[in-house]
Amino acid sequence: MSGYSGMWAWLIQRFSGIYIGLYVVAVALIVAFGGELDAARWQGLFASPLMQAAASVFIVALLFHAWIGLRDVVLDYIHPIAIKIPVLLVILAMLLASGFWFLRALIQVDPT
Amino acid sequence: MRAPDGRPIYLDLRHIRLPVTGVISIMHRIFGVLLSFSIPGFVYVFGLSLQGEAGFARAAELLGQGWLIPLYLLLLWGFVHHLLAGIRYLLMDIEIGVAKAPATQSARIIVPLAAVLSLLIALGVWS
Repeated sequence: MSGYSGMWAWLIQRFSGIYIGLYVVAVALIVAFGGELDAARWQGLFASPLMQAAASVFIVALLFHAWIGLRDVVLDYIHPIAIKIPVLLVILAMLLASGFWFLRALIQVDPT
Repeated sequence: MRAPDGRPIYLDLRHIRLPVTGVISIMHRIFGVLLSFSIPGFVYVFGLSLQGEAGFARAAELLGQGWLIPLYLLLLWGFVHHLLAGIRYLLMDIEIGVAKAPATQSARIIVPLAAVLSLLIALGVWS
């Protein structure tokens, strides 16, 4: 580990946070004020190239943000290594599985 | 309880009065953990919703169960709080509102504001 590892976590946490905030608020506004939400509009939205790119960046930002945040919480409150490591591994598995599932869904979007 | 050097540590949570800046901080943590553990659920329903007409209908059916409404309210409140408190921390990073007085003031505003704003959003969505 280099002496800068903590700085990277700190920086990533901030930039991912900004992106997540902007993305979620933007999608919420698009959905709320874009008229009736049916399958065609919802899937059309996520089939557009711009949204495919924005959503891919979003899930990566979200997983980094959640990982750094949960890691901080675990390291603060769980001290025995025999518990800490398995808990971190379970969290990592949950986040990675979610990320792959999200990207798979995004790639396979089938607009009606 | 005592620290290794023999100094007493007083950790009775019933008697510790957390200042509002501490309240906003621990809420940021708790909601962050809660939001993190909601990710798999959201991803699952999101995936369903993108699978044609049938998948979208199935996702709407899953989300439309009444017993989930308290959970939505909690997650909405959590998101709004985490976002506003997060913006507060970002401003502190660029040295805005770091001193004790403004930090206390902003926390006093944001804690109730997040709850009210979530309620307004919920009312807007369900009307």
